[in-house]
Amino acid sequence: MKRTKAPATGRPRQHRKDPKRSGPLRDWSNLYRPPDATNSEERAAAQDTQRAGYAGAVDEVVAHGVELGYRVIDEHVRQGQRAASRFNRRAYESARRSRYGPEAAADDLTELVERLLSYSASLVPQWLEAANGLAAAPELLRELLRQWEAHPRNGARSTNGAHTGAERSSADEAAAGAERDGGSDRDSAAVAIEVVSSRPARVRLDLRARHSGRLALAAGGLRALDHGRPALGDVAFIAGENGDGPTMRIRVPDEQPADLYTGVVIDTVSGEPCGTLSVRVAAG
Amino acid sequence: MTSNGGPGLVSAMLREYGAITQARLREYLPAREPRRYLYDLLGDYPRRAGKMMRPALCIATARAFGARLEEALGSAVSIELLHNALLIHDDIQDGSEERRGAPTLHVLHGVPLAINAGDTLTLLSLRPLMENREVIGAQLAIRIIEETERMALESAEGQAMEIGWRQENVTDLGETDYLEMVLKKTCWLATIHPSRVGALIGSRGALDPELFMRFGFFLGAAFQIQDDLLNLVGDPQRYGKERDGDIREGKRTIMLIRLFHEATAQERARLGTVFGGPRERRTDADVRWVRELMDRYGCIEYARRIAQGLAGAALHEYSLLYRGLPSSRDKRFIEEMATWVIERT
Repeated sequence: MKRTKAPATGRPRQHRKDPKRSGPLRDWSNLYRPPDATNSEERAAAQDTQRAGYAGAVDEVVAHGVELGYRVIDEHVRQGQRAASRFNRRAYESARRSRYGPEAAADDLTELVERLLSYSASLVPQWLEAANGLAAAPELLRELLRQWEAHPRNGARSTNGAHTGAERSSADEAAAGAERDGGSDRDSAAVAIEVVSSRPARVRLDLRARHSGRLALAAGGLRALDHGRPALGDVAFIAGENGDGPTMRIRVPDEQPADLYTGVVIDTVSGEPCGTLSVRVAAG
Repeated sequence: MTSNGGPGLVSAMLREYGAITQARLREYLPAREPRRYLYDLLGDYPRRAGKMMRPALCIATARAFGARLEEALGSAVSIELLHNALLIHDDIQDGSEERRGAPTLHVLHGVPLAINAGDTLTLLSLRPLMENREVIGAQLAIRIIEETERMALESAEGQAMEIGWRQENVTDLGETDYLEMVLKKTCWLATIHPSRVGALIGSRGALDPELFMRFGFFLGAAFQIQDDLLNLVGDPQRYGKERDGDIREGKRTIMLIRLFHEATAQERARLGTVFGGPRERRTDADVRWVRELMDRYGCIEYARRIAQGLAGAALHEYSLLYRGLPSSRDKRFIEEMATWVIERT
């Protein structure tokens, strides 16, 4: 009972304790499948326990309908998984044998990238050692460079031709221009990169020097070595205009797990792989 | 309020996505001979203004996951073409006389021509799926064709179950049997497949479509039970089919299964007689008697509460699937579908 005035006696004012709740308890979240329940028995047991705690708070018919529904759909999903695992085994073997299916192509490319990464990882220490050796022997380095520049593939001409060295003549430009198909055909592989990400993302794009400028990512997007991770698929190559090079735009979803994602870049004019792309997404 | 949520959002978006789908769908209906016997029939059901829930759900799911409308539209059109094809056949199999407020196609043109029209709509539904390769890429287009194949098979199995039960007067069905049948016959085409395909398009094939099974099932099952309820209590003019038509057809609904469970032995015997013969032998008095029994045993209210539970489960599954997505009109539309399916009239 509340008193509105301070008592003359000086005793402390009485007041009712605040109620433990000010409204009805309606917690429907425990009626349904807990997100982390992985099988119907666990779920049913969890629901029974939780439902006992809310006896009378939930319409029994409603609860019955929900329980029935989960039983039916879970069994259906299990049957689908069993059928899918049988089908996938057959389809996987068939694709491996035929080498023509899109899954096989994606598998091949993924395998290629994985091997490249593995080789790179094992070769890096040896490259570092070789680089150190060259740095310690400048005469050897100059000789290697001279031989590289003199090689016809690198733009040099024989002494019967117009020139030697890495200079490109106008004839060379004309010859290279004949290969173009509306894209850019350059000795450099300049591609603008735009990254949209709320976390740090390190991008490495390794392209062959010569490509048409019409680029695409191989099917399957960028993949982590852990195939359980979702692919990083929002990668677009936008052709440049007025002689500008292409732009690659990568969007990293907020929920993308931190990892290294790699993929193969395809020249859509030739249909040939022309490089690799890797994106290392940092943890949030 | 319809753009930001509230009671009108679902209706508004069904109209919006429905109109876009209808406009594109018309491009797939040939305008050539034989018109009178085939091509004039194809546009009949699509013109009758259905709810367009299936294509709208496909488009909204795709857009909620980041796709453009154009990337989902072909698949949405395919779904609607196939849905109309199956409606034509369904009406023949059920002996229905009315669809969306007008005579059914086989009543208008005869069973043989109606069957052929349904077959043709089924074949036409493949074209947008093939054209998908130009819009979303060959790999994803093939995947959606595989999804469509699975959905079509599940739908056929569900239809076979329902027809078989009626044909053989199966009366010892349980509610689990009903939900299994509805899962296949209704949910796969109405809600599971549009959600799966929309998610595949929106995620460019990255998402596992199995994630959408539970949400699609609960949404579709609630939708079907409400459809069955409307047949008994809805306004025939708005609902578009004859009142108590399902009783006359002998359709196995939650209400009928509940009635068999609650009825006395004597009543069950008579129910067996009523539903044991062909539809034509079922009299108006039989239908009235069954309906009165359903009311007496509270079967309609029972079914309504089952549907409410399933709609609630759909909302729960929605919260698990979509919580990571940014807020959008499409995401809100999908969320509100769970209550719309049981509140619609």
